[in-house]
Amino acid sequence: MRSTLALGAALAMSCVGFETISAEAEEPSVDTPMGNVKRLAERVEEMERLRAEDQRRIRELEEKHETDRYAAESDEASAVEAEATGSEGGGVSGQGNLLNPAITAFLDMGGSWSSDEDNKARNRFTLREAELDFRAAVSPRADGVLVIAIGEEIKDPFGDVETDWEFEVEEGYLDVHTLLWDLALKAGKFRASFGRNNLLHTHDLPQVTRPLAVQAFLGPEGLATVGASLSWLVPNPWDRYVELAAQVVNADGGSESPILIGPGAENPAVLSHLKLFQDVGDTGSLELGTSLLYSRASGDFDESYVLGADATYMWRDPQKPDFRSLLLQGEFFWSRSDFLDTFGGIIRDDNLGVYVFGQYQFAQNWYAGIRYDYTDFPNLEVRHQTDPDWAISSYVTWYLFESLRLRLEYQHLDRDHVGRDDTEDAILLGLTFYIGSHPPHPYWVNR
Amino acid sequence: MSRDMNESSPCRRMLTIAVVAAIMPSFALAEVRVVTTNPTLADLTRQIGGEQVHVESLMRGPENPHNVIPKPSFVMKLRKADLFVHLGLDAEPWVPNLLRSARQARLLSGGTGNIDTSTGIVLLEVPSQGGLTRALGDIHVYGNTHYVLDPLNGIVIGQTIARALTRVEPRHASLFDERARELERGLRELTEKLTQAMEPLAEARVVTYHRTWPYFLKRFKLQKLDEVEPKPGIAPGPRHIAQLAEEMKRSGVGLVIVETFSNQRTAQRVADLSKGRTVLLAQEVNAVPGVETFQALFQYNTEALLAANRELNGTSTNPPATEPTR
Repeated sequence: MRSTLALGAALAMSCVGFETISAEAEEPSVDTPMGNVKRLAERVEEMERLRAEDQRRIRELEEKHETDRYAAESDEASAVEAEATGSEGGGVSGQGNLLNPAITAFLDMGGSWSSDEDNKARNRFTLREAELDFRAAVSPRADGVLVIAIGEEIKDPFGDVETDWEFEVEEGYLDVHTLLWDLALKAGKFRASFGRNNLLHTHDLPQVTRPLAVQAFLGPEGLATVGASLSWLVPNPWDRYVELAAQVVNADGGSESPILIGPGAENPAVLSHLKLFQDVGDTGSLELGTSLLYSRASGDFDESYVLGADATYMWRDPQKPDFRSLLLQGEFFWSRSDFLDTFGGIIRDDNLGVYVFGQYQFAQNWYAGIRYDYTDFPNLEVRHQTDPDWAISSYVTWYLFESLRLRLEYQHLDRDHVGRDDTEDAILLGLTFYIGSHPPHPYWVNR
Repeated sequence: MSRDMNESSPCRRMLTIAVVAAIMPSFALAEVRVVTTNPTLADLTRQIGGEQVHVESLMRGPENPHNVIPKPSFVMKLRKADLFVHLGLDAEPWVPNLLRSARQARLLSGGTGNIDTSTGIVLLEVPSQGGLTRALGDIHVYGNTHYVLDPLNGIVIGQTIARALTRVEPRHASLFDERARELERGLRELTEKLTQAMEPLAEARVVTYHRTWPYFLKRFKLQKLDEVEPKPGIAPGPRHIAQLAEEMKRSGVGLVIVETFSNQRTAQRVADLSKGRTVLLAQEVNAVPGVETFQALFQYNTEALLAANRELNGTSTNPPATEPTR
């Protein structure tokens, strides 16, 4: 019984003690239930605010961690790379293919359906040119360029058809693009800076064929010979783009360079080009250029020079810059050649050539244009003709993909060959694509 | 003599003023000259550089950064530049030739003035080296290059620009650093605010025209159902458009995000067929009128998406994903 009383007393005391502690823990100063609830709600609110703040900090830290981790990984990768290429090695030796040049292979093929049935180069499919283009830095300020072209050639278009493959180093040069004093230097075989079209490779032409004047004055594929070129960005008070190029090249270009031909061609030929550029409004531009090519020869071909002028206007729609553009371009050639006649006198031969074209981009991947050609033939040795040719062509170009282009062209050609006085109407097809490294786009493509 | 000099003091004062005026432009020229490839990088450079920099962008806002025609007048701008700020990677294939033409060693790749803003960016859609082929379309070999479309990447870009400006003009180092921090604070607040505002669209699926938006979609918790282009840079044919529209209807997806350089008519056709709606978003500062800053770009884009969504669904929100995203 005593023990029961003692237990009861102990329980009673502990209950009293518990109540006292609980009351102290809650809020000694607040004694109404409503006050307690309000206080609790405030504390919950405070805790939620703190939680949101913590969440935000965690997110920030996560972001920072992600960035730091990436930077650390990059550093680690660099360290591994450095170790691998170091002299002590890390299981890896040599550079493998890592420093290989950018390689692009271009294929340019086509076909024609022509009224000229005598010309065996017409009315057939053709793989005009396969071109391998290698480019890489030689030093921080210089690049090396090698372009190898393999083209199908029909030896005698008016005889028996016999095709051959012509292998050629189309360009191979060192390009010191960043010299001192705004100068740049090229040495090797390169396309001569004469006008605008001559700088384009066959696969980059805006039409299926090269303009007749360029073919007649500079060669069927344009003029590319071995030599050196120095170009200078000319400082001027108007802060305009003025570039002057002077080139010294071999004149013994053979039949591929009509104006330079001559069994007694004397090296070198000299060439200069002046280029001016001006923005017109926000999205237009005008480029003007003049060119001069001069060569001498011994024997019956004394000297000749070609003067050129070129103008290019380009415009992009300010609202739809990738969908609408306009290009107007023209080039003018004038040459004078002096021949020695059999009596020791000089026969003077002046020639003229011109082309103009306009091209409109009417959809993202579609271009349409028209070109007019007129040309004399400055080199009698090669062409054996005296009367000019003229032609008009219209074309549509469709880029199926960035690397694949189709072109359809209609050409009316009027020529007065010695012994062949005729006109030709032809439908020309062009299919061009590249594989490999992404090449720079030619200027006439709105990309 | 001294009297003469005193008498001529007004002239001397004028002379002094003239000399000071003549010298002033040279102080003005002391600012750092920066050329950027695009207007977004130009705006971020302005925010970091303030009055200490003169910034010019080569590209205009609506253009496609991959398809810019480099002009000789760009060369003239670069010749005077202390810094050239660009996206790096293979985002701007026209840049290497332009830099070669500019003939300025400091701006060449690896030069002190060549600032690649992809430094420190965590890239998305990085292709595996073995799978690189043109069969995948115009893919970027290092990963998706549209990283400026995540507002928080603006912080990393800002820091890169601040470091570059400090190298050129160390006197203002603390100023550039403070502005980079300010940019960071602002962008974090903006991102949090916009992410909250975008809650009605959380986990909603959209269709994008080009593969421009993965950074934007990830940041604002959107999912991509598909793209209008069957492969990057390849125009869709009628069959692809019809299939896409069908897929959109089946999945209850109605928003077609299109950038200014993509074909708006094709996007509209997809939207019409799927009974959806196109939303023209700014992929670049100045791509659409009124979007003149990096911050305004995200403000505009999120508002445009929310507005389009409201218009599409009345006041209700786009249904969340119920099918696995392709």
